[in-house]
Order: sequence, then C-alpha cells, then structure tokens
Amino acid sequence: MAEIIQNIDQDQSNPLGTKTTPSLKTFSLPKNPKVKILIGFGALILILLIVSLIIPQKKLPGKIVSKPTIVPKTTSIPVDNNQIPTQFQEKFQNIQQQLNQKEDFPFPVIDPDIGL
Amino acid sequence: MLWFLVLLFGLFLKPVYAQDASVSAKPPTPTPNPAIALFAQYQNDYNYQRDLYQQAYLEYLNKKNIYTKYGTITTQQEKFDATKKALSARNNTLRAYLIALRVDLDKYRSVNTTETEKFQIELGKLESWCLEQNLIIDSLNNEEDVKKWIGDQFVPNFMTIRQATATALVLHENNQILTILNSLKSLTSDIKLATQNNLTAQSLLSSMPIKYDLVTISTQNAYTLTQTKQYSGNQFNDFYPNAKKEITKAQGYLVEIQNSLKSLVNKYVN
Repeated sequence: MAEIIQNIDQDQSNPLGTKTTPSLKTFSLPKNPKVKILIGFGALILILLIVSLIIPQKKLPGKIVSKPTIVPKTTSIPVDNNQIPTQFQEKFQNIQQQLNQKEDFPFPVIDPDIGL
Repeated sequence: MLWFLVLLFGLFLKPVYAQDASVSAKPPTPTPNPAIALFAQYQNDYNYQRDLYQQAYLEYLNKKNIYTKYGTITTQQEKFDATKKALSARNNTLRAYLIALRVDLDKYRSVNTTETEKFQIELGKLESWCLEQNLIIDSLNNEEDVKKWIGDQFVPNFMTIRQATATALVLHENNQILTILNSLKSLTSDIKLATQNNLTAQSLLSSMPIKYDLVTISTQNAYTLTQTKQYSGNQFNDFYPNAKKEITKAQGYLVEIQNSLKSLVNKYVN
C-alpha cells in the first residue's frame, strides 16, 4: 500500500484540496438596487453638507431680504416684591394692577349683509 | 349684704378697653373708579343684546334657507319678518357696544380729556343713529325697502361706526398707557428724592426719559394709523391690528421701566 505524502510547501500537491493562502477581497457595489439608491443619497447628502460648510452665504443681487420687525416682549426680571422698601410697595402694586388690566373690547362679530 | 351686692355687680361688669389704635391708623382704601363698575353694567347689557342678535340671526338664516327651498309666498313673508328682527337685533347690539365703549373711555379720560370727550360725543351720535334706525326698520314694508335702506343708510354709517370704534379703542388703550406712564414718572421722582445722595442711582434715573419717549412715540404711531380714511366703497380695512402692535410695544416699554425702577429701588434704597 502506497503512502500518501503531503508536501506542505506546495498547494497544488495538497491532497486534501484545501487552500492555504487567503483570497484577496475586492470592493464591489452591492447588487441590490435599493441599497445602491441609499448609498447614492447618502453620498449626495454628505457632499451637500460639505458644500454648505465651505461656501459662505451670499446675498443675491437685487433680492430684497425682508427684515423681521422686532417687537419687544415683556421681559420679567424676577424681583421679589417683598424686597421692595415699604415706602414704594404700594405704588409698585398700583402700577402692576394697572398693567394687568386688559382693555380689549373687540368689535362684535356681525353680518353686515343681512337682507341682501 | 351691701358688700355682697357690690361684689355681684362687679362680676357682671365687662372691662372697658381703650379703642384699638391700629384700626384707626389703617390707611384709607383707595376709592374704586366708578367708570369700572358702570362699564361692567353696560358690558353685561351688550352681552345680552349680542346673544339676542345671535338667536335672531340663526332664525333669519333658517327662514332664508326655507324660502330658497320652497319659494312660496308664506315662506317669503316669514323670511322678511325674520330679516327685520335680525336687523333690529343687530342695531341693538351695535348700540349696546357703542354705549359700553363710550362709558369705558371714562376710565382714563383725565389723561387726554379733550380728545376723549370728542370721541365720546362721536360715539353718542352713532348711538342715536342706531336708535333711530329701529323705527325705520319697523316701517320697512318689503324687500326692496330693505335693500334701499341698506344701501342708503346702513352701509355708509356702518363704515363710520367701524372707524369710530376702532379709533376709540386705540385712544382708550393709549390713555391707559399714558396713565401708567404718569404713575411711573411720579414714582421716578420719588425714587430720585430717596436716592439724592447716590450718584450712580441719579445717573441711572436720568436715563429714564429716553424710555418715556419710546412709550410716547409708540402711542403716537398707533394713533396716527387711525387718522386716515380706512374704507373704500363697502370694504373696511381694519387698522386696529397694526395699531395694536404699537400698543403692545408701548406696554413692553412700560414693563421695562417698571422693572428697572424695581431693581434700582432694591439696590439703592434701604
């Protein structure tokens, strides 16, 4: 009976047929079209993000940019009324009462077209 | 026996205490503005008239729909009667609103007496017009009469009412703002006196007139909006929302002034 001899230095003569050298992996786009679209969108978003960071905002000539009207809001500074000296407390209270008084008395909702 | 009677009498006697000084020393409560109570009364009346109008208006819409559907002489007459009732109720609502607004103007009239009285007279005239119209509405005999009355009487006067009431509202809110501004000015003077030895406080207080001017300018801007003719034909261009923006601005400045004064008092007045 002949003895099988394995030469470990040569693949071709490996009688078990196993590969010892790892195969090199190459990058290839997935075949699924949905994944391709996703990758495409992702790349587009990335490019737009980079472009928006690099290019500063420029005003278009002739375009009128509407300035928002600044309406001051009533800012309330937290002031404890008890800290106010007694001689001024009543006056501040009166002013606060006057400020709290709402004088809205809207016009009635009526139909001016009755009878037409 | 006599000693016993004296002892018994003493037991039933209540001790007489001196009058509580704290009661008499209590500061007098400020007298409430009579215009506030009067306005509340007229506002109630206005709310009642408005409810009546809403009922009459729904009835009018109902009768109008029935007439459109059937078109009979009976349904036409019912629609006409409902129209007259709705017109009358609408007039009463307008009149009640005008009266309540005129009374409301009394609240802050003292700050701008001449202009306020002028508008109160104007509102009074419009109230009388509304009252007269109810008699005319009663005498309307057919739909042609109604249409003629609407074109000749109601439409032009309704525009006048819209403009007058919107102007009166702006004037009233301006008066309130100016009243508060006067109170703040008086308070500033008091604080000036209390901090007369403190240069920093005096310096801060001297910058207050700039803020007073901002308040005054905003109220003037609001009032200027009311001075142009606001209607063309049958369309009323309501200026009140724009005027309200200026009023809100002025109110914001008032709160700022008040907060500045509070902070100043807390810091510099002991």
